[in-house]
Amino acid sequence: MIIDSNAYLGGDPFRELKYGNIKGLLKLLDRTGIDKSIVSSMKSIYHTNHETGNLELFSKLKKYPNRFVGLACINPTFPGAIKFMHLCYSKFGFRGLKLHPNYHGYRLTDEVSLKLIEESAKLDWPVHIQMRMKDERMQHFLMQVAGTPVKDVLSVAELFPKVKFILGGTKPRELPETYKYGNVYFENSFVSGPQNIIREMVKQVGSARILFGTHMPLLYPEAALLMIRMADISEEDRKRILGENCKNIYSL
Amino acid sequence: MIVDVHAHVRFSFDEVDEMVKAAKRFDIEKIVVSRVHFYKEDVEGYYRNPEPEMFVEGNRMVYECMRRYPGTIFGLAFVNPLYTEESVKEIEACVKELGMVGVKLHVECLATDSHVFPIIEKCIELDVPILHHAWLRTGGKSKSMPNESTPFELAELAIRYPDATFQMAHVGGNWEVGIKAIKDLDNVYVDTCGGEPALGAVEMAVEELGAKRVLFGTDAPVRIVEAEIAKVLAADISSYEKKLILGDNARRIINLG
Repeated sequence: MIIDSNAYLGGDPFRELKYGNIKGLLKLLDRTGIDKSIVSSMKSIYHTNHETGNLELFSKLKKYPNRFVGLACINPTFPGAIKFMHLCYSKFGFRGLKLHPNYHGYRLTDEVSLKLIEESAKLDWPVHIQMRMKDERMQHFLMQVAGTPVKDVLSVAELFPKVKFILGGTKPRELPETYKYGNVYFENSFVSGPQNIIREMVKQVGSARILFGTHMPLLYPEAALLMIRMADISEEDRKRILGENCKNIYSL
Repeated sequence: MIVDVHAHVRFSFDEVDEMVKAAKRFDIEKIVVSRVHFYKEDVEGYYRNPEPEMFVEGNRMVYECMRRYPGTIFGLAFVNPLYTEESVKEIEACVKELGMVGVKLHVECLATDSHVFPIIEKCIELDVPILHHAWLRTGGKSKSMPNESTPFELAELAIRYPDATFQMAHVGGNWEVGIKAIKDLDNVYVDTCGGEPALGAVEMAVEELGAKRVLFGTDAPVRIVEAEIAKVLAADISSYEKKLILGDNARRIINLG
């Protein structure tokens, strides 16, 4: 089974997205042969009130339980964040927490963030930390957002050794620093080179900590998929990366 | 036939062997390479102002790769236009004596700088295309690469030299702007490599420029061949347009034998 660990529902404020709605995502799944996607709300990244995007995600995903799994995109600085996260768990059936510290204007090491992670750990939720949404060189001039600092990821990984942290949108140069933390996982949508990086990552950290992720509909899902399909690794490793790891981490 | 119009050799032949091996898995039969990466003692990161002896040596490494993979690897002569006289001489030698098929200009000198003009004139005389790096950065030019050209600067150069053929690298970085910046200049092509594989970039290039002005490149070994070729293979365009981008266009503008 092929499971994409990182997809989004919704529009980008600065660019037309052909496949941004639920039908678009389904088309991308069908054309690539991906069985299932872990999806979060793009609206919840950009809107002040993160709740509406999550509500929309819930309403759209519930028709397709076999194709999509929701993550709660929570801004811990927004009033009632923890209570709303519990609603995402109990009512919406979301399976993990998604954080965008750089877009929501806080540091992972801030008290509000630590409290949220602590609460999500009680739900046994994995935490997906999105390091960036776009290449910093190509952002809109109105929204220049630096990547989430790697050192903050290391701090929370150390503070919460039992929590599984999945890093999305990681640049290759950021990876090695995080390798020593066994509870840090990676998806490959921004892992652009060099040529044998997937093979090297498997050598360094093992295939159990690498997840296939597309960052669709912003990026061609075929890019991340082909990278794993053609990687010079064993079939067992490939199977883990393409789906088994995601299945285990999110208890699907 | 698939042609990768934008690849590099860096410091080791092992890396070149890996690149050719990866290319063969996708039936990429021809790879156009240049060497733009240099190190210098006491300089952090890549050295961005290579002296003639450095770029001459770099081009000889490219030539070695051409000999190692005849018919597969084709070389571009990389020069630093700030050393104008030496650059013109080197281009002549690389094309006439070593059989290189074009010129690579990177981030040493702005496309609008008059040092570049004799280089372009030599390319017109030798009838070879110029692969010119271009990247429009949010927030202005990079401190480490102040002479990195934008698509607008490359467009100025292309207007000045309508008889020259330019390949704008990376669709100009910010591809939505890059495509529009060179849209009306028929002597400018774009290559698809670099940046994240943004869904829609290849489609927009085809819609705005026509598939005949779009070229497939990988930026290998800096970037992964799989992710780069997926952009073209996955794009919502016709098979005919894909064929043009993946190789037919390259064979039309580059002398690949």
